[in-house]
Amino acid sequence: MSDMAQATKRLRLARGGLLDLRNLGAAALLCLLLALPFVVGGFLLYTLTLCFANALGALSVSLLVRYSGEVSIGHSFFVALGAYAVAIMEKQFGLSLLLSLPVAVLLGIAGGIIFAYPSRRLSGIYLAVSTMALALALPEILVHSEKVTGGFEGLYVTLVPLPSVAKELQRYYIALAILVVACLALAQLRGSRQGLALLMARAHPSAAEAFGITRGWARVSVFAISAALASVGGAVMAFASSTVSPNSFTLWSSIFLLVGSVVSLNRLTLPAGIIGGAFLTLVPNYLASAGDWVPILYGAALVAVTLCVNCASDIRLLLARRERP
Amino acid sequence: MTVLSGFASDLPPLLWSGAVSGCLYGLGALGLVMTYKSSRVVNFAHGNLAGLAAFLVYGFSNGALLNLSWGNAVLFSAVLIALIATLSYALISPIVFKSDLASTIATLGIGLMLQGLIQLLFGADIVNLDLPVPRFGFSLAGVRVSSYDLTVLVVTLLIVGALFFVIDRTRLGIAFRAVSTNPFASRVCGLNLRSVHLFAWLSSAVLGLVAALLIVPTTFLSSTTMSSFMLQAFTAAVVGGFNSLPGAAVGGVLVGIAMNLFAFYVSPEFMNTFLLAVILLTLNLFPGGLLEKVSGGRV
Amino acid sequence: MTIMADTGAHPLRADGLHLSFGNVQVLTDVSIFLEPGRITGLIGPNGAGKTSLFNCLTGLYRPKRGRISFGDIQLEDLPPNRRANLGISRSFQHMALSADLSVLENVMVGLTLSRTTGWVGAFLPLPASRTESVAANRKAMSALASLGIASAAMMTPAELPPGTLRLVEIARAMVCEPRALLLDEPAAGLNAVETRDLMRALQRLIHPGLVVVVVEHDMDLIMQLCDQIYVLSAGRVIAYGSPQEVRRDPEVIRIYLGDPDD
Repeated sequence: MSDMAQATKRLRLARGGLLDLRNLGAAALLCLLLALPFVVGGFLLYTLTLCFANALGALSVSLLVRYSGEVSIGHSFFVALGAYAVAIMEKQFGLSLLLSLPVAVLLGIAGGIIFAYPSRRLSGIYLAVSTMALALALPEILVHSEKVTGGFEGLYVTLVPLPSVAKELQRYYIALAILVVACLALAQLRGSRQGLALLMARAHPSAAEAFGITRGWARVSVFAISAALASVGGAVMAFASSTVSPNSFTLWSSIFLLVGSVVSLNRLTLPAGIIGGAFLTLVPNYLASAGDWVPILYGAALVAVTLCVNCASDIRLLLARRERP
Repeated sequence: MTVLSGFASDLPPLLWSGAVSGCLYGLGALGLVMTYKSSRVVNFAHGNLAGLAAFLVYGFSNGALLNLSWGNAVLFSAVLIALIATLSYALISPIVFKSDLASTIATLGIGLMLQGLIQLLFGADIVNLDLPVPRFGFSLAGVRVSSYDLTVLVVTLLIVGALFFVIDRTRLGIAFRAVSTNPFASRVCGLNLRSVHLFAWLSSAVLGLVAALLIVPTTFLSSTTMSSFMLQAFTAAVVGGFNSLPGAAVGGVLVGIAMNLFAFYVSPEFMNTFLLAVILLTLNLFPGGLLEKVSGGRV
Repeated sequence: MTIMADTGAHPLRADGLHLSFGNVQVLTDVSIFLEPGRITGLIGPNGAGKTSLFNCLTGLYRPKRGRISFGDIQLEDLPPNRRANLGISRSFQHMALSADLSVLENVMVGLTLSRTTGWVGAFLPLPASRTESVAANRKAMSALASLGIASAAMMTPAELPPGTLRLVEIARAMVCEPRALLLDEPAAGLNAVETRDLMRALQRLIHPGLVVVVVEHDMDLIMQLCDQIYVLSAGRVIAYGSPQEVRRDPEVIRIYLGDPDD
């Protein structure tokens, strides 16, 4: 037994070292982001706030890919749920983000479950096709329920939670805080009972059933979490950009979220989220002059990253084979 | 009584026009099913490629890019589209057999690039692109039949007939069937997988071109209309079963009719929502499509 | 979802199982009685239906006819997760570990049903969820240690040889203190030392309330380890008895001599 205790200790230490390094990276990035408003201002701050919102969206797609091995090209639906929840809560009840955020989370969970339940047995292409239909159905639903959603024009979001602080600053810091909390929650999920169960269900669905983990539960759970995260992203997006309109929730914006997730290698950390969000926010901003190139660039990034990841896994396999004949 | 007689006079034209547009969804679905059957890839770039094809025909015949006759423009576009299809297949060929996830994402990437190309070349233009057929029409049993309807029917029948002839009778077709039943066994038998894949991707591109040319006259052509057409084709493929070529054709007609009925009797504004419901319902009740025989298999 | 509180000893039995895929008859009138407190061996040539029988017992396959019971509970209509809930656990012939999880975490998956942390605890570091997680960690660690592979705990499956992974698979099946443990070829790919460790671990594990069934090709292991043996051939039980009886059975000798590859 002492052998075991020693082994545990040694490995804890080794793993702790690695974790510390990663945590240090994330902490450094966080410090930088916290300090940024003292250095820059105006447009860049606004862009970064949008970037945090997009980061949440990209993370929500990454979560789906990581934990269920599926892709969604309909996540703008759930993003819209959160965004409209914030706008409608403000318009109808005069409530600001901090009170409408829990509503957005609940709506996201409900939306995720309602969509995932009928598709809990679908996999791969079938799920992708139904998410595509979801994305294409969204704009017509938004446009034609004008009384609630404001139709084509959409709605404004002007309230901020803290009356005495500069609007720009609170938008930035609140968005950042929400993103950081989401990343911490995701890290917690990875080690939890549910996290392990979901990853096992992804790797070997029928083996997982032998340990009490059913496919239906796994599918619905992952979708609900992912949709809730996307909805939070939408809420932050509405808060950051101060408007919501159907234009921002098309099939293409769904696919863009997937792009953000893929370029951050579907990882679920703060830096990965920021990379994904930045790709989605900064590229169109700095290529505004060449707006039509954006889809081409995104498409190329999608293909290139996918091929590179495949190449890298091939090389790793080859090396492993050479090591262990 | 009036309701009933209204029903009797409304229904035939609805069925007819639904079936006509359904033929086109079927053509789109056939392309999707061909690539899926042979290479197990669901080509999300299919609609964008078809859209690009129609835009190219427009550009080549209207002077935007070139000033060719309609026939030459179609020919020229077909060659370009075939090139692009080959290129897209070449891009994703390293991952074709490895992962559904990766190849789905890659086709989405290709779709984005094609979409970008359309926007780059034609901007946000909304264009009309008519077929060069004489306009006439007649009434048959209370249904107005136009020259456009007849063109669609004839072209669809010809194309589907040719496709099924190739698959049934030629060496390539036999290889295609072998590969789609069991890719690994057929590799052992020495069939060239890549050439079968290429055959499927090229025919799928041509089917897309034809479907796009035929569908554009009924609406208009813009860089966004193609995504709803793609959804219609996908729904047809799901209804017919992603594994069945005849299913895709039948699924197309069924979806066309169902959409027409829904638009007329319920609401024309929620077509995509309706299709979403159709997809989810079909996948739950008939996971293998309406035409699939129920068969037991090893888990 | 917790494992049934009752810890009494129950036999696992199957009566007259028939299983077929299309026209292929896989199991024909198979009846077995697995006593708690004893280790039962299940042997037979390749394709005899051993793994299919396992799959019927754990619910991955649904037999066409026949009854399966665990104590007083009828199992035929229960899905795999409900059977797991009753304390039936298994390892897989084709290793079913997740490459995303460390070895320790893979073993912890075996504890899923006995853990109670809810969704709130999955996202927030509540004290209760932390305590439970530490306890699960410790249990998984001691399961690994009992098979002599504690040092592999923090590695990922990709870094380990097949023999060790086999043991991880077994550790995961036994970590939840099951009441019936079904091991599908546990010694395949193990070297002599690992096989001996495995045998000792199983002998330590067995207690009066536990049913253990082992499908195995390693005859030495089976003969030393098992108290009773069923011999399957072409989907039928052709012999049953103690290792000595089975070894002397003319039908068994014919099958094994007639098919020397096995």
